[in-house]
Amino acid sequence: MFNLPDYFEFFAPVKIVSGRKAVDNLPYELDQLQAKRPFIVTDKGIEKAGLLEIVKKAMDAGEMEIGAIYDETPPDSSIEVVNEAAKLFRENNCDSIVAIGGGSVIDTAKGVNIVVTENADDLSKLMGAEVLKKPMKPFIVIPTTAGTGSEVTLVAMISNPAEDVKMPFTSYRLFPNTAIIDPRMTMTMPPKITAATGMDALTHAMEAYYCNQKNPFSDGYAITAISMISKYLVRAVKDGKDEEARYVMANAATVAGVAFSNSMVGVVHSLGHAAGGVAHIPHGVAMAIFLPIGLEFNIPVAGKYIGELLLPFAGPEEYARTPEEKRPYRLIELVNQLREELHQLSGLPLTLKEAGVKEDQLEEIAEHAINDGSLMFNPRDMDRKEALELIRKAYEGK
Amino acid sequence: MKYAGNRFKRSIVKFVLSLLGKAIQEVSKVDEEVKMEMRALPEGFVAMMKVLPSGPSMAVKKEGDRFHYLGSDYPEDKADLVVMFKNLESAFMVLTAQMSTHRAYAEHRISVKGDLVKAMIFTRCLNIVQAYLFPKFVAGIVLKRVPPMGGRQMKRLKVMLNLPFGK
Ligand SMILES: NC(=O)c1ccc[n+]([C@@H]2O[C@H](COP(=O)([O-])OP(=O)(O)OC[C@H]3O[C@@H](n4cnc5c(N)ncnc54)[C@H](O)[C@@H]3O)[C@@H](O)[C@H]2O)c1
Ligand SMILES: [Fe+2]
Repeated sequence: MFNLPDYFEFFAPVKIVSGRKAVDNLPYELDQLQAKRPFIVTDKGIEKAGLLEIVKKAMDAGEMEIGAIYDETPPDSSIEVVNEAAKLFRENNCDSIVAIGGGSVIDTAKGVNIVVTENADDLSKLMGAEVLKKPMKPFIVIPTTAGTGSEVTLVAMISNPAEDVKMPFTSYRLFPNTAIIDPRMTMTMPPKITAATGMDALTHAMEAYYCNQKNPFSDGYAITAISMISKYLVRAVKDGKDEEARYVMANAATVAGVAFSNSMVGVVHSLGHAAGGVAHIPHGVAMAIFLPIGLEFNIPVAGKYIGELLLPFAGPEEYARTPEEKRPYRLIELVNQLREELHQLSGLPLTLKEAGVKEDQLEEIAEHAINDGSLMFNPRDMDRKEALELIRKAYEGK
Repeated sequence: MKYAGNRFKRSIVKFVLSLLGKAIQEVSKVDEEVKMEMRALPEGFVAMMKVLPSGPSMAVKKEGDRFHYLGSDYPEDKADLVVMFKNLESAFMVLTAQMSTHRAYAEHRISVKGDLVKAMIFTRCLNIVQAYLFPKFVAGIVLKRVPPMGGRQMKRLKVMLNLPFGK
């Protein structure tokens, strides 16, 4: 049962502040980090949903001033956006960063933190894995989607539009200090975004359980997240005002984030990042499309682990009823049922075609997929030809 | 270095790195797949492998459709991509085929400075080069998948014969 890896590292340094009205603790948490003039990174959708107001009110009650607000974050942050926001940070003498938003906002804020800390003018000069060395600015994240887990990860995905690729930055310095999980902040998410981001979280937990850096710590987080998501995602999509479902999903995404930040993600993300970079489909939508395909691809080398996921995903009866060698296939069947249900409820696309990808983009997506860093952590290697086959399958839906 | 064992490992690592550098140069002259991968790298691109904190290292530069070996003391700040082993022991395990590169990445034994997409491309080139260098049973340990060598045996011979003469 216990296959301990010969060697592993595990690091989960983010303080979690989670629960009802948790956002009201923001000024206190900033003060704990000796921050006085936070720079807020967010986007227009968050502002329109009234979420920035909740934060402003909490800051006012805590008698703390906001240094500046950057609310122009586009879906999927880019190098230019980061450089522009960093300029605003400096012009307003800010001393810390608060991100309020989904993965796009959080990753932009991480990029800003790199640029202002390293005192650079351009993020693209600071690329790479584990190369940043200076201590970063105090950094607090308030996620508004229940998906990326970026509030607890060491990764920032930032796109380089010149080359149509999303570049991963990974560094232990990118961890936020504090993540504030407040169910009020995800309540306003529309059903389709709820479904897509929830599938992202599920993918993180599942990939974390079979990728190369899996270890007993990340396994625990992965399994917990899967059972939370399988029970509550549909509820949160059906009724956005279901506070319990929102609260469980918000925490599940964070728990899954801890899992994959340590064990990393694999081929589902390689394919998804590539589709996102080339065809600009939202990350969660890409995850929903590629998850069953990636699971199936990994069965020959990681079927045992994939089969074990049936237990947290479907519960003990289903697990006991299914013979061991059938478990990975049964899991995929049930993941497909979940996708179908989300499609009915929210219009979540299930194929690349439905998501608006053009057939003549498939080869380029394959080329990007085999260059994506997360492939390094997938238990099975994927070459150009295999990538294209999987992408065609995702395009047609078999 | 006080410990003889470390001195020994360092000289092995230094030797294998230079062998690898020369092999990349020679394989890039003859192997179509390496040439194809290299197309995605910009002209003059310098990739380096280095053991922290202060070497040994080796670097190769893309010139036209092949790599040129730059020797073992190329300045790190001039390289576009630096693949760094965090310690001597990790470098020793990977370079003596006791551990795969993928595994070393997974275990955080390697850190990368530069564009990770280019690191993926460079790693694929390295995989092919290793398949030239090692017999199949060793390559099976080092690589997640051994590139098929059928049809490459003559090229392999050529690479092996040229190795002692690379810079
Ligand atoms: N760093 C990591 O660890 C990591 C992991 C996975 C994904 N990502 C990245 O995250 C990005 C995707 O993030 P995302 O899926 O959270 O989506 P997102 O941040 O792009 O947000 C999607 C849309 O939803 C809106 N929105 C968000 N929360 C809302 C709310 N509560 N109410 C109303 N509208 C709301 C936003 O305004 C936006 O228009 C991608 O760039 C992806 O690469 C990063
Ligand atoms: Fe993701």
